[in-house]
Amino acid sequence: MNSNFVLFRAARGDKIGDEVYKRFNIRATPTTLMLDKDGSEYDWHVGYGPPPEKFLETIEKSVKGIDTFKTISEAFAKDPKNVETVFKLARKYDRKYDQEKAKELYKKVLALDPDGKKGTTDYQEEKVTFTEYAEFSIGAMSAFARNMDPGPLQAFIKKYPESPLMKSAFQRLSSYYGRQAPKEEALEFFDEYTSKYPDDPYVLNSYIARIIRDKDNIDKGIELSEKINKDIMKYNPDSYFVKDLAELYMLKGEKEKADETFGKRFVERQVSDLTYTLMQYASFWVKHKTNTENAEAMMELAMKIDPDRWYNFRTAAQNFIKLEKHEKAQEIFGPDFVAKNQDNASVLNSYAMFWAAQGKNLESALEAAKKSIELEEAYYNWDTLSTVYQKMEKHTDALKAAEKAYELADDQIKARYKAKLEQIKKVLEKEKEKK
Amino acid sequence: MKKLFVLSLLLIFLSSFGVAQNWFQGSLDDAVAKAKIEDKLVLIDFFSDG
Repeated sequence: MNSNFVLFRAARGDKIGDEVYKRFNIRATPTTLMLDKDGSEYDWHVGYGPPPEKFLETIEKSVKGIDTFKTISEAFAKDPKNVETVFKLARKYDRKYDQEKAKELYKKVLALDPDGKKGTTDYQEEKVTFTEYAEFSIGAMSAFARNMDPGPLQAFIKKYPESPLMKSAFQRLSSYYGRQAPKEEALEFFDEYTSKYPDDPYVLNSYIARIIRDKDNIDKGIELSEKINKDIMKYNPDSYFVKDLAELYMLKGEKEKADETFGKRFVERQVSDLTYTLMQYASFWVKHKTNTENAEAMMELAMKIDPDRWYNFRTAAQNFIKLEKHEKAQEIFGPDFVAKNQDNASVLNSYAMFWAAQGKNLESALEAAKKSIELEEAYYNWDTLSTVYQKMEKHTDALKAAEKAYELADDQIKARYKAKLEQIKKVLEKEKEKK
Repeated sequence: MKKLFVLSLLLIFLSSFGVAQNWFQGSLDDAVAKAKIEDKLVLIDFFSDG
């Protein structure tokens, strides 16, 4: 980059930056503008679509002079009646949100090629004639203008019923019908729009937004919103849509349903999902021993967001052990953790099992295993106590605990458990022989 | 989402390639003059802090 360019930064809100914004009529961030050696505009790109390699290709294309503003402008100066050149120049201005110049050039495309026979452009892997695209763009600009005019886009929809741009045309019109059109016209439009794209939650939601705005036709809104939330987004609830359903229930006076939909349980589930994702993320990068600084930060965040989700502490401890940060593991999943979970037998048992498996922190594990039994005597925690004793090489105690576990186990487990008893007995016999 | 868009485009881009960012310090006209001498283009990163 440094070998091809002199890099300059223009920040919005900064005195020099604002002047540069104004000088080049920049209306969106991020924008990358390239200037030629004489300071004239060479090319520009608005927005940033990752990955970075794709952006690099775009910049390289500009450096090579392929379809830059400058080369297209020069071609236009030589042959202002070439439809492709006029169209490309219109698109350049359109991308920079310079609608005045873009519109003028799109109109020129229509004048030069009214029947759409002089070439096509790509749109979502389909071919669209320059003329069709120009008509769509002019319509979109009108629908978004200060005095919104849906006419040109409505005409486009009638003229090109099979256009690949059809959905985009409806989408842009929905802005007008959502905010400005009279209620009756809006309902007619949204009925058509939603029947055309019945499974697109954003389409359905545009109708819902209008219903909420009008505070009328609430039942229709609920029907659409329940379809989004209970059918389409059933396994992937999104607060963007859920909130609207709750809003509709409130408008209907059904507060309980609103609470059921967007209340405490909803938020708790979202928190749980988020912390799960953060821990998954951390475990992934710890496993691959890279990006670990961020992995640690995400584990800390998960534990802070949801301190009651005890197994996140266990997963975090496991990850810190993998990172050979044993002290940190004990700090988050050590005696303090036991003290906070004195009334939960299964959590204490899980804690004891964890440290027994590590062969570390065994005194604390022993304390937790005993406490677990005290709270709820069962096969599983006697077995854990036995394992902890084994790790501590207290085989007589391990055998006693294992025998108790055997006594409490069901028949299926008993069959398997005999092996463990035999194993401990053998170790004890060897110990006796040594003595 | 909004935050993503207001981040500096070039900052994201250059960071991802581990490129040292050699931003011109001075006015835009001076940057253009430098570009002329060095036979380069000027690349302006328009960004917003929020």
